[in-house]
Amino acid sequence: MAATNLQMNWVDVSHGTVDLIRVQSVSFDLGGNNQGYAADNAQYNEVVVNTMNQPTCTVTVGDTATLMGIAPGTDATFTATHKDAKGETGGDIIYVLTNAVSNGGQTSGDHAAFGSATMTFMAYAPDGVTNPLSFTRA
Amino acid sequence: MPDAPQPEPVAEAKPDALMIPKSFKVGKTQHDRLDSICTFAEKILGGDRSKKITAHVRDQRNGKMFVTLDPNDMIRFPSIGPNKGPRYYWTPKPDGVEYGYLVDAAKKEKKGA
Repeated sequence: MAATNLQMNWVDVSHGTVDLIRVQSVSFDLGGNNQGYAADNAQYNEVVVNTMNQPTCTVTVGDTATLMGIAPGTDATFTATHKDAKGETGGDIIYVLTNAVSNGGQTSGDHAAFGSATMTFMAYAPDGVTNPLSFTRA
Repeated sequence: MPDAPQPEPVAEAKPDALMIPKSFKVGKTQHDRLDSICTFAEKILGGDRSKKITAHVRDQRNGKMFVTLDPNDMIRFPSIGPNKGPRYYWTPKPDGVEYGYLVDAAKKEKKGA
């Protein structure tokens, strides 16, 4: 069967050597920062410039202990595979965020509900120009 | 290392990186568009999907995508470190794609990694 071109569920999620399981959600944010310029009689921005980009990813898992074990400031590559919705071969999308630094985790749990932990990673580019977020497909 | 022009590599040599115009993307879904670029790049870079050696695509926001087989590759040397400037010689091709060849310092760095 051909790939569905739909994605569902995350597997092979890791930060460096730490494999994350019971992954409930993963999101990537390109973190673009735009600055507008207006002057004189302008009522709208006349120019908008993309000044900076700070890619981040946020992961939420049920395996709270493992995620909370990643100390704030830990610097590693974050990888996650977004599966083809029907698991068809060749339909997965693999995200790789290099130089992903942990912001520290948050964990919580309500009464009679499963607990979860969430962590955000902020990426940087050592050369200042290469996008730390890359995509490939399986 | 200054940003001085570098000598041209052998024309037939397999490049280490590509700069591909975003207009090369084909397809209606994210997966289709990504697949079109990966397939194109892997033929040139020597990827092998069956061995999970696939092209990693980075949106560079200048109308181009920086594509290599290693997600850790960078366009330039780190701003902090012994080497400075571009990590590749870039050779433009008629179709608008640029072929990147690692400079010697980058080759040594990769071997030592």
